[in-house]
Amino acid sequence: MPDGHVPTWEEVARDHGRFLYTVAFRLTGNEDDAQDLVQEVLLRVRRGLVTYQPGSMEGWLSRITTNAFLDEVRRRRRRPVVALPGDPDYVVPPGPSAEEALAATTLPADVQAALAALPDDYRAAVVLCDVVGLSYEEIAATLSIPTGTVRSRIHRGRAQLRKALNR
Amino acid sequence: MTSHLGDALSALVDGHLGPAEAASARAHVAECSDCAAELEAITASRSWLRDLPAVEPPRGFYDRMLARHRRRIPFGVAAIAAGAAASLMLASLTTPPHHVQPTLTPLVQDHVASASLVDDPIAQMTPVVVPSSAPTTTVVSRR
Repeated sequence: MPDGHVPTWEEVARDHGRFLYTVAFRLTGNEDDAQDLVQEVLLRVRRGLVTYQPGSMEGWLSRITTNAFLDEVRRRRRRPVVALPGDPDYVVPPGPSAEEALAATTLPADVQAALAALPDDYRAAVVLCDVVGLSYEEIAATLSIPTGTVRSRIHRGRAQLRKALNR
Repeated sequence: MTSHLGDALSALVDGHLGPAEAASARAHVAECSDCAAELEAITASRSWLRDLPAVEPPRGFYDRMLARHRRRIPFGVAAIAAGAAASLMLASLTTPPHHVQPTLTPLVQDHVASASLVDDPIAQMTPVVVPSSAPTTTVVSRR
C-alpha cells in the first residue's frame, strides 16, 4: 500500500479482513458484536469519517476499531441494560468454582473468556498491546489517555487475566 | 526494601523502561518475592494473549456485507426519507387531505436542497433578480 493512498473499504475487507475481524472479536468477545463492530469500522472507512494516516494499515484499523468499540460501550453505558461496575446495584460476578478452576487450562477459549471478563478500558489497552502489538505511545494516542494510564491499564488487565486463569 | 514495582513490571517486560530503570527493576525483582511472583503472573498473561490465534470471519461475511451496503442509499438520506414518509403516512391516516400540506414542507425542502436547477429550462427562464416595488434596505449616506 503506497503512502498517501486512502484505502477503500473493499481493500480493507480483502487485504485486512482477518486482522480486522480478530481485533473486533477480541474486543467484543462474541461473534455477533464482532460482526457489528467490523461493519461499523468499514462504514467509517467508507464515509471518510476517519483520516487515513500513512503508516501501518493495521495500526490505523486498530485505532478505528477500538474507538468504534469504546463509542458503543459508552452508548450502552448511557442506557445500561444490566448494572455495570460502578453502579450502586452492581453485583460482582462470582469467580469460578473450585471444580471449574481445577478444570481450567490456558486454552485460547479460556484466555478469550478471561479477556472478555476484563473491564472494557483494560481490555482495550491489553488488546492493543498484546493482540495488535502497538507501543504504549501509540495506545495512548489511540485512546487519548496519558502513557502512564496505558501502562497501568495493561498491567492491571494482565494481572486480572492471570487471576481469572489461575489454577 | 523499597515499594513494589507494580505496573513498572509490565513496562519492564514490554521493553518500555530505560536501561537504568530496567536494571534497577531487575535488581528489585531478584530480592523481592512478591514482585517476582507478580512478574511471573503478568509474563504468563502476556504470552497467552500474544499466542491467541487469529479469528476467521464466517465464510462470505465480507462479501455479503459489502453487497448489502452497496445497494443501500446513504444513511442520512434514508433516515430523512423514512421520517418524511412516516409523517406523511400518519397525516394521511389521521387528517383530511387539505391538512396534508404542512407535513409536505420537509419533503419539499429536502427536494429543493438536493435538486439541481442547472438543467431546468423553466428555471433558466426565471430572472435571477426580481425587482421589488419597495426598497427592502435603507441606504445610509456616508458622512
